[in-house]
Amino acid sequence: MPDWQTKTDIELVRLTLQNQEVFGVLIKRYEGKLKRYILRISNCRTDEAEDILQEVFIKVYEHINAFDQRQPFSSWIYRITRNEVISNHRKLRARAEGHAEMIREDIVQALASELDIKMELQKKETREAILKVLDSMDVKYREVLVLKYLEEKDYKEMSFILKKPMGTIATLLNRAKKRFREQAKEMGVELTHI
Amino acid sequence: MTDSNLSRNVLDEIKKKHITPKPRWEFLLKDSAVWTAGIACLIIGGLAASVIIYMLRNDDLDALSEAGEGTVDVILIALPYFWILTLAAFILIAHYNFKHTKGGYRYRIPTVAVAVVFISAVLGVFFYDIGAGRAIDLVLSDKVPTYQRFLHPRARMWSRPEKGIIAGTVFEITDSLSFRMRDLRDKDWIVLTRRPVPMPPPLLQQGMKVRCLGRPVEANAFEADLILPWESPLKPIFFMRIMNERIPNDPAY
Repeated sequence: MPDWQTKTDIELVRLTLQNQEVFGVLIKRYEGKLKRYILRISNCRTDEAEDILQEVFIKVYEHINAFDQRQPFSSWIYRITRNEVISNHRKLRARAEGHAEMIREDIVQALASELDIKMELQKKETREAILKVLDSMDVKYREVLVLKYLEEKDYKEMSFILKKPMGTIATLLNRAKKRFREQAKEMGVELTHI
Repeated sequence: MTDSNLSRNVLDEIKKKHITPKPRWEFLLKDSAVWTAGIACLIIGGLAASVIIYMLRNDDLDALSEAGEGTVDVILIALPYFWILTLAAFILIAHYNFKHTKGGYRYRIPTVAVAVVFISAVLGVFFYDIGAGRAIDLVLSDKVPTYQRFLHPRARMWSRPEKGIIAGTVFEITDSLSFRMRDLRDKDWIVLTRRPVPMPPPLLQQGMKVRCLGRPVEANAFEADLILPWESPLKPIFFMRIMNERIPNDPAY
């Protein structure tokens, strides 16, 4: 069996058109990231996120010829995922479980540093506090924070995923950071400014 | 479902439902359709703009001002609301289409809106200059009674006999000082002039559409001080004006 793991996304897309089984490699490569992304931008449960994810991969396969190779495949699949989350939005229920363990500590630190917030990084409560604040935010602000700090996307990728100009992304991000601080304060979440 | 079997489940589902990738041409066709619809909307918007320019650049304002009409009143009644709404609708559709092209998301809404309005305006001036605005207005006036009666601002403007303002089609020239005319509301008038009709060229003739300023003297009689042809002369704004100015200096001529 060929070593598909070493292939780039674009090579795997091309190979998928010849061999359906290769698509499984792309699924494995992205399932973890996309499941976390779905959970972070929506308020759904893990099993609901998995159902959405299955739909996402089926759509990706069906529309694989629409993939424009001038864009990174990851941006394209994130865009499809976001669209699927939006179309499922009404079906989703309030989050019944936390996902604090899904945020790595280096990411928490990056977010804290960007927001000028000093935190006790080792505490699980801190990660939960971040999620609590994120969850309470308007989805348009939450999704830019998630993409920038949790999914570590750059402005160009965010622009493609959210279908908004880069200038708008920058504005949204600034507002989102401001809103995050305000929201944290309002919710009495203990975040100490540096 | 765990992450490890998601891949298998998706592939099984794809096989079970016989899902295959949609062909590339389908997406290319969809993209082309969005672009074509957007361009078509821009062209239609440009044509609507050319009719608006034609209606606002005729000599009605001068004529009615001479008849003592207030400028604001004339402008309010002369605004081609139907065409303004048509233009606005097609600008919105063109804008929507552009935003839904593959790269449309990269541009801010105001940037796209200004670009679409600018293109419509340029096309409008071009179509006006080549006579498209006038042609559309004349064809619709002749062939679509509803347009003439309800949607045409000039019909409203020139259907006010109580103010001494009427227009219509000459159907009989009785003598050098009078003729019979059917107005835009299908009412017949005898139009009287104190002196021979001061309007050639073109000479007043049967079937001609004219505007009259004066006063009603009886229920069906109108005394005209001024008679003008219905069609205003075309006053090119840019394209045709430049061409007209260039022709005498062209060494080929």
